Amino acid sequence: MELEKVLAMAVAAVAEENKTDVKRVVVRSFREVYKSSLEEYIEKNNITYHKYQLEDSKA
Amino acid sequence: MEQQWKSSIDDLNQRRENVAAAGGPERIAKQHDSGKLTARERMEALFDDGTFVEINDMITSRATDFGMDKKKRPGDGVVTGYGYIHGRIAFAASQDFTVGGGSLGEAQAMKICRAMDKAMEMKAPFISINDSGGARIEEGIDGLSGYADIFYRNTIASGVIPQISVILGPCAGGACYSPAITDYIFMAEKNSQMYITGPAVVKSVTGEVISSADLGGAAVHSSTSGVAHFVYPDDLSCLNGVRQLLGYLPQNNQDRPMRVEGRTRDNCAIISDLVPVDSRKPYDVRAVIDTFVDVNSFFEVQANFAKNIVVGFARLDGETIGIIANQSQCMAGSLEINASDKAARFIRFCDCFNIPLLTLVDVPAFLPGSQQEHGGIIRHGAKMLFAYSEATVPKVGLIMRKAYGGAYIAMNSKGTGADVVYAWPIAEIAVMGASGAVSIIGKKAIEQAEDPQAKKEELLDEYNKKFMNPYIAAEHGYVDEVILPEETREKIAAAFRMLKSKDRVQPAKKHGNIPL
Repeated sequence: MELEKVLAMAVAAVAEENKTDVKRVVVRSFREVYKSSLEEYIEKNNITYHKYQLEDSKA
Repeated sequence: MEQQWKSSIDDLNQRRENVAAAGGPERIAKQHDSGKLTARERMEALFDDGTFVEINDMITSRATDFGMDKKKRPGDGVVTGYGYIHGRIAFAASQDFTVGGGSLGEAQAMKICRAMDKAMEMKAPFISINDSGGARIEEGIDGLSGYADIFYRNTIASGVIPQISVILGPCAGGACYSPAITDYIFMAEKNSQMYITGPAVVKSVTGEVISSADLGGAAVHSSTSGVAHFVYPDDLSCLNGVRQLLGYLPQNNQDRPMRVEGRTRDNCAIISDLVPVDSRKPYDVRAVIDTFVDVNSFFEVQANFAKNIVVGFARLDGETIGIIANQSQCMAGSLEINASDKAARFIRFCDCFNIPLLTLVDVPAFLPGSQQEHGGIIRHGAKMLFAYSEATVPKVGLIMRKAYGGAYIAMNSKGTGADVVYAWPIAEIAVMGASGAVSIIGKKAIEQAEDPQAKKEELLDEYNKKFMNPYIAAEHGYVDEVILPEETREKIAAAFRMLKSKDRVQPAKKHGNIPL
């Protein structure tokens, strides 16, 4: 996806969350967050993985 | 932005990339090909998403001998830091096999010790992920001494914070003793090995030819040696196991385990179908446990070692308890050397960390025989007595069926400090089973009788009526209440509620002298 589109979506999300107009949101800086090495490994190897959460013991 | 800022930032980013690159793409690929995660991937899997913070990432070795000045890498083969597990802080060290085979030198040891010190200061659990070829030979005594620094800290932290070792690769020689001092050892089926001397040395010294897995693999340590407490198929499931275990534990010895509201169920009505009245017939005690603890909450420890006793954590009305139960399906539930060690260590762990104890008794005896006597069953069995007697946490017992002789005394009897002891109406509390007792106390009468068989049966009947029930023990105060099986959950839960504020103070001493 193009960077501009991603930024526009992020701005819209922030505006919605803060119940404000998109025009009032100023982007001062941003950085791309890549998939982690673990996420890539899991995806590449088609591993079914769910990180254990306390809620799992309540099932 | 000023040029100086830009170049400094670029320099830092370059250094960060260098740290993150670990041993380089080829070694990382090799690690992945062997089914192992990298040190940082393991941290990501261990901690709650996005919470891991690495510390001292740029520390490197100061060694220069044997070309070490050309081999040094930032991080020195271990990733250390902190993060959150179920929202609570924990510290960890994860050896990086892609950097110098994860070998331990002075700087690596210092990093690990710093993380351990922080865990102690913050009174938070410490997790050590081991994947290392051992001491870094090029660093000589400095690396070796690093192990001593770690062992010392493991020992001082014992009983203060939970310490967990996760073996996800080789762990050889002196390195084994850090995990051995910690509370729990996790291993992965394929890639974990622990041994003091590896197969090559074994062969050269003794002539014995043995594979790495047969010498110190997960299967051996979880079932034969009892060194490992938990085994999982791979890294990810192993680290999930650590997360699950920590859900039962407090942060430290001043804390209580967190309450986890689960689904409660009282299925005790089926107990009388699960447990045969004939005390010679076996049943799975884990099925009994499942009838009254919170749904799916029983988490067994050392499931494949000394199967004649079952130990593990569970929740009752959301509160963690530790359970010790005789397993009649294995050796009729008798106590022997390994079962005594397994139970005693579990009891002491629970006592360290304020986890109340529930003991389910169905025990015929200490296992007889020269193998046991010569192996030191007196010394090992004494550990259980010692552990129960010194434990000050709430101790509730339920005598389900057999409770004979010294083994009954060792299973949380009233005299060793049990707070509440219940018994089902089929319980048999006696010095020994009817047959053995009659053959001793009725020996003369049987020999002199006109019909020895009839006399024996008469005496058996008398003994059964007199002793093979819970009522004499109840009359004499060794059993607090005889309960119906369907009342089991209700009574046990009520006892633990009553005991919540228990405060038994032991006399001041440096430490007891448990028979090791």
